[in-house]
Amino acid sequence: MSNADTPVPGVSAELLKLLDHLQVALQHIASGLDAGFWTRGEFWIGLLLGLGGIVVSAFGLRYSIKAFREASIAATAARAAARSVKIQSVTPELHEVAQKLGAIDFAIDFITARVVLLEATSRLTRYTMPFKDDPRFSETIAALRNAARDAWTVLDGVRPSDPAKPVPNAVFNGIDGSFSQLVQLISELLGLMETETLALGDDDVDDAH
Amino acid sequence: MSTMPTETELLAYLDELIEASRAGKIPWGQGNPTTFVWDVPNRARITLQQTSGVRGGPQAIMRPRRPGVVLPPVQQRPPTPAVPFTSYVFQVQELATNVMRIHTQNEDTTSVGKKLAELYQNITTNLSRKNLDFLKSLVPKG
Repeated sequence: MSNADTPVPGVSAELLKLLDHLQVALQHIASGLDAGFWTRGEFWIGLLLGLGGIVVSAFGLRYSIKAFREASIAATAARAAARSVKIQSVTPELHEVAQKLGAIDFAIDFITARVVLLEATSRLTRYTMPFKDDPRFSETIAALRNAARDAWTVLDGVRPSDPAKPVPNAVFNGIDGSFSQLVQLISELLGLMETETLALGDDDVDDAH
Repeated sequence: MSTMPTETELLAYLDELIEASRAGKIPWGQGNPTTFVWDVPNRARITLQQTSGVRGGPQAIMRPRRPGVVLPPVQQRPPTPAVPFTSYVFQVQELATNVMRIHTQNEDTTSVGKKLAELYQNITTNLSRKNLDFLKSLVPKG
């Protein structure tokens, strides 16, 4: 029975009608609150849309990571290829330096020895510079530079007191050991570089994973 | 063509040479900072040279390129350290023919090398003394 059907003294019929509408509205709200939200269709539609968004985002993230990895691998491979090209351009020069150092004559004089050593040490410094911080070559390059310094000290030790009266074979006897040490270290460096060239790509690409 | 005397003969000869040098009977000169020369006019030139070298040093040892990679034992060993050594070259050249009669090179750890080192030290001391005497003679006397 509604409020409008029962007249209340001092209250107009319109007000009672309004109260009835308000009561009905409140009952609707109360009945909606009593039922679980999962019983509503909007909830499920929203949920499905949300889950779909998450799945799409996960796929996007996965392909982004994959693309980043591929790019890293490509960059590493490119760097390795560039280094390999550099190595291939340097190795013939190092071969030539080693050959010149190893071909000194028994009767070599001081001036000739000085020219040979100056050229060799200059070229060695230039050719090894790009690799001096590379952990795969740095130890041999450091030893090579020390050996070059030692060779200069040894050469100073055979500088003739009287250039007009050179001591037979003295220059050769003095520098032979140092020059041989240089040749040995250059050969070692060449071996390391050739090994690196052969192994191009495999480990470098693996490193990026 | 050089021929080598036996080690015993060479050691005996070097003993004589050391004695004569110590007594100042041999006029050693200096061919370069590490070589002493004794010229016997029209007969021979005798030289004694100190040389140095390095044995061993870095060798191409493979290293693991990634953590966790285990290499075979041969590749794991540390590089050989560089070991410096000193040796002496003793030569006797016949001037008339320019033939090298004796040429021997010995490290200072061998018996001949030790004897040559003794001779070298002896000559160094004598020449240093002579050079010092010469320097003293240049100082004006008051």
